[in-house]
Amino acid sequence: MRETNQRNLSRIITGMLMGVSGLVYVIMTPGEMMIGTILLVAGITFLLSGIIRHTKFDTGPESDERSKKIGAYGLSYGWLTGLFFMFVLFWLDYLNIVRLGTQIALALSIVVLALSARFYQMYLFRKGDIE
Amino acid sequence: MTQDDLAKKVGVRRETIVFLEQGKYNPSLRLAHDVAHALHAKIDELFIFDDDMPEPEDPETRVVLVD
Repeated sequence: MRETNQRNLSRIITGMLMGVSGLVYVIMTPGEMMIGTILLVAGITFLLSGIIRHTKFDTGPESDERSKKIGAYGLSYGWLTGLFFMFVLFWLDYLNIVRLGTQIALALSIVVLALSARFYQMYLFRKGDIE
Repeated sequence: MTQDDLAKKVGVRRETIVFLEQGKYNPSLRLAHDVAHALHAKIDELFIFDDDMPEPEDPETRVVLVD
């Protein structure tokens, strides 16, 4: 339990440090917004993740055999969905039905891989087990 | 003993105990052992599996675990 609290505390501190540095960077360099924004967003994400995990899992472990199993299966199903998506994308491009640039195709693949894995994990968590 | 107490005792999340109770989660042998130990019971008293595996017809194919 102490380990969980330590990890969440470091998430919160890292988030605060990144957020503040991002804010300072944006204020100090008016022309350059990119690095400051990235730091700020990453900082807020770390901070929120630390606070949410602290409130949700303070009295118990963050992960156990069930969550690890479901996490791994969700990733596997997400990977298969991504493979199928890229397969479809390839044939759509090959048959000149849809023409996407490399950047958009890669961005779509990343979104499909990440969202489908999360979706499968959420579905399996609600279901209880992988079977 | 509450679900929370049992979860803490065997080192899992409370939801895992909830799904175990509902029969929606098949635990590992380790977790089944730990839960049985925490509740001072035997594993086969707590976890009942539907016996849909056919018995081997030839007695020689049976695996003898303990003499």
